[in-house]
Amino acid sequence: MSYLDIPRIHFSGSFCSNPSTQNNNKASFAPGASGVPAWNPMGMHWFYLQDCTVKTAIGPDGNPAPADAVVGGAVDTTNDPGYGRMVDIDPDYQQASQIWGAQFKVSLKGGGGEFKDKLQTATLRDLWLGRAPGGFSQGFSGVYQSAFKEPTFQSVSSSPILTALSKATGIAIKFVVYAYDSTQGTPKFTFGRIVGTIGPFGPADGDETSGMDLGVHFLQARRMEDAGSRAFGKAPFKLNPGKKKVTIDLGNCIPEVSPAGARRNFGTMEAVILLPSAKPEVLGTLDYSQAHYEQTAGIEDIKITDKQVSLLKKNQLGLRVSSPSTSLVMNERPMGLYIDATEIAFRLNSGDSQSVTLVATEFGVATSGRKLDLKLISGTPPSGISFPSSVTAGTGFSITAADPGNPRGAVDGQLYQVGYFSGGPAASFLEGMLIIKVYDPFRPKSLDVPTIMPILAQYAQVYPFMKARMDIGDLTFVKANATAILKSINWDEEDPRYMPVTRDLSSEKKLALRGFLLLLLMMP
Amino acid sequence: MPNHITSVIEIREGGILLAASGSHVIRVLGALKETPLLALGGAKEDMVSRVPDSVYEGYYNGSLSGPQQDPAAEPFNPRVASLFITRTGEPLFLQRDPAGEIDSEDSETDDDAS
Repeated sequence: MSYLDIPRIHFSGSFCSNPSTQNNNKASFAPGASGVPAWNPMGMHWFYLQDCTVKTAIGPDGNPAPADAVVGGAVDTTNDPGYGRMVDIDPDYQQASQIWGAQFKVSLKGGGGEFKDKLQTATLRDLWLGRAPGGFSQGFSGVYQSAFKEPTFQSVSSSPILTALSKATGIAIKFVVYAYDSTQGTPKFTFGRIVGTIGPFGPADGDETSGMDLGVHFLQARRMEDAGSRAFGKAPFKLNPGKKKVTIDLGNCIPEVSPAGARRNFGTMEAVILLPSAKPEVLGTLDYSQAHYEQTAGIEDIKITDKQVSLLKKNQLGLRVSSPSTSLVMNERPMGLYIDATEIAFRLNSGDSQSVTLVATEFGVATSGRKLDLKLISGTPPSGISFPSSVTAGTGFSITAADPGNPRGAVDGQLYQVGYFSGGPAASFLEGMLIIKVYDPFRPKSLDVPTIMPILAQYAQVYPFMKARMDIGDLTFVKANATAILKSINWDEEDPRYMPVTRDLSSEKKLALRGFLLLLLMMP
Repeated sequence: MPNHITSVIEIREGGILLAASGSHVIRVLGALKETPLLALGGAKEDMVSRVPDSVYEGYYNGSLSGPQQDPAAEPFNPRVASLFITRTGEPLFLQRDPAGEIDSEDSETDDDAS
């Protein structure tokens, strides 16, 4: 079950993301370096929603539910107990930005009822550079998919949709961020547009990858994409045979004339089944206008016949447009193959192991026994990470970290990129990448000032906003505020109050810091 | 001579229909040469598309189009979206040309898809 199932709600509005860019460049990490401030050095790493409302909803019966009490309600981040945090995993990889500790709240129109929960840490996926002209940042678009595992519902009985969602195992959410403004001095600096969908989260149903624990980030759906031009983004979709419908996600795939502006004109857009020896089977037309997009987040249901259900189980889905000429602009791969990882970004300490599963589906059904290859693409020394060279799709495997030997000097550890491949470790068969940050060991003989203070000083240096308010690189300040700093370090990493906000402190450095701060507190 | 342009994904997973007898020239985009596996990384602000916006502009408005878009064909061919941007930024269109009517271009280009 996912956001492509029912019941679900669609929202749109704005978001703010103001990461500090001081830590984007490795030159900023050297002791005493002024670094490279880039476009937002004083950023606070906050992520929050603004003016987001539920635009439309699909009820438990699969029909639009305009009268449901949640339609028109607010979708907020509560910023409680702190703002959600937007951070990159490493200066050497900034395409998997993560949102940590953001609590979301969905309210009934006019208030009086709500559900809320903390978003499971979400990683940016499907970054598309060509949604609108202009490149970074307003032309970019990307997707976050995650879940709420322990939502609390309050007074939602007047909303059949929220009432039904309250009975689900969890709540799935997917949102698209786009038209982000990174130009200092503009009214919308650090703001962008967002559309999203919230639906049920739970075990796969019969036509999906049943029986596998795929976590919150793997989308149990089929995919359409273009042939390699990136002129269109990717479009997941789900065939629901029982309800005789196909649900297509156009949220991150239709190019725009200008950021958040009108869509390119492609005339009539149709979903078609591509048949090996006949004309395409037309399933229906799709409204891809900007106004409609902000109502549905690009999630479109098409009712289909029994015959079409049968055809789509074994054949490719495609998108066909009528302008500027009749052409196929996106389609599923010929065998419906889709390969993805249950998670792509990891932080590991030396000696840690991380379990990962690669999932392969054909026309939405898990393939059994498919061999996938793994190969280290970047990161030295190779001995800093180990993993099998070949794995079976659907079967978990371990990635184990070892001492990388401090290859980057002032920047802790090393960033490894591991490719997974569908047919030998060659560029032609690359299906995706796993991004693993491996920290250097840190086992000092003593917890003295010269050993520990550089850790705090570096953090202050790459996070100028905090340094301007509280200089934790200053020993006098640290002594006076040791209790507060210790409390911040001791928060769970998923908590928005956790320090460092960048989540880039190894467990061994954290342990040493704790010891150092306790020693300070015990000193007369 | 019949000549076709396909992609490594299309020919590997679906094959292509050679609807003419004799020899065919088949150019497979994304598989011509061994290419280094390139790491991704760095700042998002440094990321750029492999082609300028004007190439996409031409594709969207129809001034850049493929040699074969035949909605009457059974099946509709090519059976995948046809615009392909090579690793070197060259826009190419997949095509089926069983009659050999379309001029072949120089196929020495590095056509890697990565």
